[in-house]
Amino acid sequence: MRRFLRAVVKVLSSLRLAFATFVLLLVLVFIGTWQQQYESLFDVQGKYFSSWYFTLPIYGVPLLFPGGTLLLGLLAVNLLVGGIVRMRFRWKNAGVLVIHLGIVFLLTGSLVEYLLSDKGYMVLREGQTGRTFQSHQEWEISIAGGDPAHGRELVIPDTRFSAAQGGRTRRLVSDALPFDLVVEGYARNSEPKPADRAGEGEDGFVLEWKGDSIKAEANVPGCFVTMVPKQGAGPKVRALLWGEQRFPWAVRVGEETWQIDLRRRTFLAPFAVRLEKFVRRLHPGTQMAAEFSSYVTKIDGGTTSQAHVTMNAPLRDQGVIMFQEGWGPQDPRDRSLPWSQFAVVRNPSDQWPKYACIVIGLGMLIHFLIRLVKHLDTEAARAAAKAKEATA
Amino acid sequence: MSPASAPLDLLRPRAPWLVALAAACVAVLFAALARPTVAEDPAGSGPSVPSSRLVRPWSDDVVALARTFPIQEGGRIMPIDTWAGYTLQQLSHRKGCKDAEGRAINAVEWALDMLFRPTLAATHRCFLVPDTDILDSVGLAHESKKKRDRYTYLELEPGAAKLGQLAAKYEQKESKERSSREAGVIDLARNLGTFERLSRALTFARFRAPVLADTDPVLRKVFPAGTTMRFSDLLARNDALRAGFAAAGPAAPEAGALHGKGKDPLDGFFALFSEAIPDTGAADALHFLPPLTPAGDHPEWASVFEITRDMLSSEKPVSPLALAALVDLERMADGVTQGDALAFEGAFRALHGRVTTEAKRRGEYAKVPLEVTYHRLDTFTWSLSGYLIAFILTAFTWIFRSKWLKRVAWGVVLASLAYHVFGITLRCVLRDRPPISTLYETTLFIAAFAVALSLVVEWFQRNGVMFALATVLGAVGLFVANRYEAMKGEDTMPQLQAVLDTNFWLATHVTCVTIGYSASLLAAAVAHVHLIGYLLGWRWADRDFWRSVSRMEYGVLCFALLFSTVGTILGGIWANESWGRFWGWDPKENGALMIVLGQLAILHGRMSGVLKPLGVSAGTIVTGGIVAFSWWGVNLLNIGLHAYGFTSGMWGVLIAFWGVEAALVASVLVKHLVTTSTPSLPEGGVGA
Repeated sequence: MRRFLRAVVKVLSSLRLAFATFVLLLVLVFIGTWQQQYESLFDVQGKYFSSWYFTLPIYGVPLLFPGGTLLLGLLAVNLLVGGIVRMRFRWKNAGVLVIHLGIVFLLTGSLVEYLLSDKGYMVLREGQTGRTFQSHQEWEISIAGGDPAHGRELVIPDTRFSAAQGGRTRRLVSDALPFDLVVEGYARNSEPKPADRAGEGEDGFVLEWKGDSIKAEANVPGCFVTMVPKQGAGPKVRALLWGEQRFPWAVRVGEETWQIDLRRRTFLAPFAVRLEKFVRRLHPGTQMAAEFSSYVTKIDGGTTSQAHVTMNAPLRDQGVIMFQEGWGPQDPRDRSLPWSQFAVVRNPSDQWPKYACIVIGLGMLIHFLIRLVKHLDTEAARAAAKAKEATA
Repeated sequence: MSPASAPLDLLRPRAPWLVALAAACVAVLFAALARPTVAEDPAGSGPSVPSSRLVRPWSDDVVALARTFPIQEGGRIMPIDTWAGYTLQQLSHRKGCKDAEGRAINAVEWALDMLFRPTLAATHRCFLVPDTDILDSVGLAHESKKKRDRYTYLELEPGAAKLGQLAAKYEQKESKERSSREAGVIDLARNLGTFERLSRALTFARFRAPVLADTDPVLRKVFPAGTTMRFSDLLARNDALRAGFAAAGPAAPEAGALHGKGKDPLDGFFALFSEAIPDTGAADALHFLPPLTPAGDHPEWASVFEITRDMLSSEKPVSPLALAALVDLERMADGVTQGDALAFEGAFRALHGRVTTEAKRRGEYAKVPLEVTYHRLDTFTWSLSGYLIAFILTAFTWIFRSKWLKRVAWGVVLASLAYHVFGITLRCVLRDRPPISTLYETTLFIAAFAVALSLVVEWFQRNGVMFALATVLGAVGLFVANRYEAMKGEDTMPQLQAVLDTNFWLATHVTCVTIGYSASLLAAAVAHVHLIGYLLGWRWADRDFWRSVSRMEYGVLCFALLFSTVGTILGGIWANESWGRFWGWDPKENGALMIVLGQLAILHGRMSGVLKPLGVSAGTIVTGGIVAFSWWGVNLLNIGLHAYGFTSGMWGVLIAFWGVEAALVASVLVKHLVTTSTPSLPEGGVGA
């Protein structure tokens, strides 16, 4: 057993594993880059970079490749076991050790971001105040209502029901609800259209699947849901939910009215923001933007403060960062109030890459200086030997 | 040490060496400054076209005035010199062309012809047609022409309408799906449109309407009989004209043509201006009139169309500067018509003075003369020539082994590098930016850095390899820059997208990544020497030599990894500041990451023993291919956030490059397999 463990550690710490991992990562990154011509960036990230493995048809033959999670995991283990734990602690290795520690820190930051960050956007017209931000690509079913005194809201992320396709169903169950919700016919990018035949679809409408968009944020999903009362109080009720419907589906269960909505995943920011003014400055005589700027008021409890959000200068507070992302209206004939779109991110490891960069840079500097001193020593010795040879 | 690998011993500070360097620097600078700016016309033959009776060619003074005349284009103030250069490049892929008699004319002369002698300009060979298939598609004749040749507007004009229709049809397709012929049709139609627009840009200056007995009564009240109305007169008297037309009421059926046919009494007023400016798009082509307000309040310069539109819509009088400038332009047009060169030049001088004075008052003219000097010095063409000469001299040193020849080669290459860096520095001063903010500038910087790094390594190793590579990389880099500039036909100093408007990140992330590109390509170049030497068996028995080559390659690769890694991480930090995520798997980010991964794989493969020196060289060449993908290839995918770097039309070159590299690596692999299975072959080098 001990021998086996030693062999495992030897493999996991080997330079050959590092070499193989780097080559495979290189191939993976190339595939993920190339495929962005045909698949959305969001899908590419999920399929290639955040997966354990994937298959890719090459001339019709499906080939199995290791995914980003597996390779980055292997690299992290190899770095920890080989680059840090098993490395001989000598002065000449000090720089390399610091570099490896920096890379581990960088990878950890990426993992923390992947697992714990929330990303979305917030759109505000001038004078409008907002506190929530919505995901670009992720969706959820929100079930709100019931007892008005408590104002309950239950949200179910799309990962729980997006598999309800092709005859499969997903039953969403909660003790807080007097009913279960059965989801079926989920289509990731769809549009309601009048049914061709009577009795088809729901309320005379069916969902037309439009195929996944190359831009994942442009997908608008839809599904059919059936509300099944728990204690047989009332009949089952079926409805069509669609991502861009203007109002949630209202359904009465007993004495309570519930509102069920399919919407982009929504997050609450720790503070509210009011857009005071949006400024778009163009390079003179062109339609090319020289500056996008939003002048906002941050409202946090009873206190307010002014902030200027522009390109390369976001607003940071309480772990949330707001970036200038978009603007409108883009049609000059549209005379409505200007609006500004902010990318909003809650990322606990926001500044970690900066610290990792400093550590890695420091490690490289140490390594470089050690190598330089060694090189100068060698040259001096060589010159001395030459001089000795000449005098002899 | 074997004689072949002995150091060249070139860098001792001796007087002849310094003299050679100084002489080379002076020669290059003198040659650049003394170069004639206009082609001579020994025959002095006048044109056969009626509208070009001015003595040809344009005098040096006129061309010099035109060069420094400021206009606003692409969001910045630039001299006509810049604008004419890239506009002609867009049409011709060159900064010069030939007129009907085969005389070479430069871009400024071409622009002057376009604006003031459009009929003559129509006979200039300024349209590059890359393939006669394009002409076949619209039935244009091309007998006695080469497959890729240059044409005049007169030759192409019969097919212009059909080209426009076809271009509109092909533009419906995705750019990736267009054939080269379809892309060529679109380009040619666009170029013809550019020509037509520019050749009509000053139509208003040639507008002349005599006031006769049968002229509209409103006009006769404003202008005395027997005079001739000019466009500037209409603008100057627009209040009286407007009032006259309004008072006259709706047009009577017998009213003059200018009076209009509509019910609105002002129809005639507007029709008058429509006649003077029949093509509003053309009148909007040149923005050469600075407003009489501080630049901060009103940064946009005006075109003639905009002045007229604003006057018509706001009823405000035209500024005195604009009016005087239009009078100058009319006098210039008269000078051309009457063949009076002095009148033309006098009016041009007055116009130049008016506009530059105002531009100086607004603080917008300071860099215009420097930009003209930048073009005049033509630093990159001269540096390219210098690198080529240095390479030829180096090749001679391989035959003659002359110390003096080597010293001259060093002098030339150092002078070329100094001039090359001087050109980059001038661009930094002109733009108030770090050296790299566009794709074009990456090529200039990569070439300069590769030459400098090669020379530094040569200083230590002194085996001649890096010196030869310095000349090759300098020449190839600047040749790519030259071709890219010609192919794009755009301002190489454009305004930047809002996200790029940060000198801190341009100076850190972009510079680091570009140094990484440069060093990676240099390492790949050294790897070529190694692999080609192995394939040819050249000096393969000289172990010391090949060990030193491998050492250089390894050292440069480590240097490249350092900058690629730091640059890539800095890019992530910038992305985190701009878009809220450190890493977004964007194609440009991925390209940089692929370079880092490739280099890490090589170094770890070398340390683990998986890769021997030949393997390291093969890997380094593959990494060079990855740099090409990251530098140019991802821009061709037309996806991702780095949209400001998109380009097109490079796939063929890239695929050829990768094909050659793959063939080289495959050949080495085959030879290595054969060699290792044949024990009788002699040992040598460091490939085993």
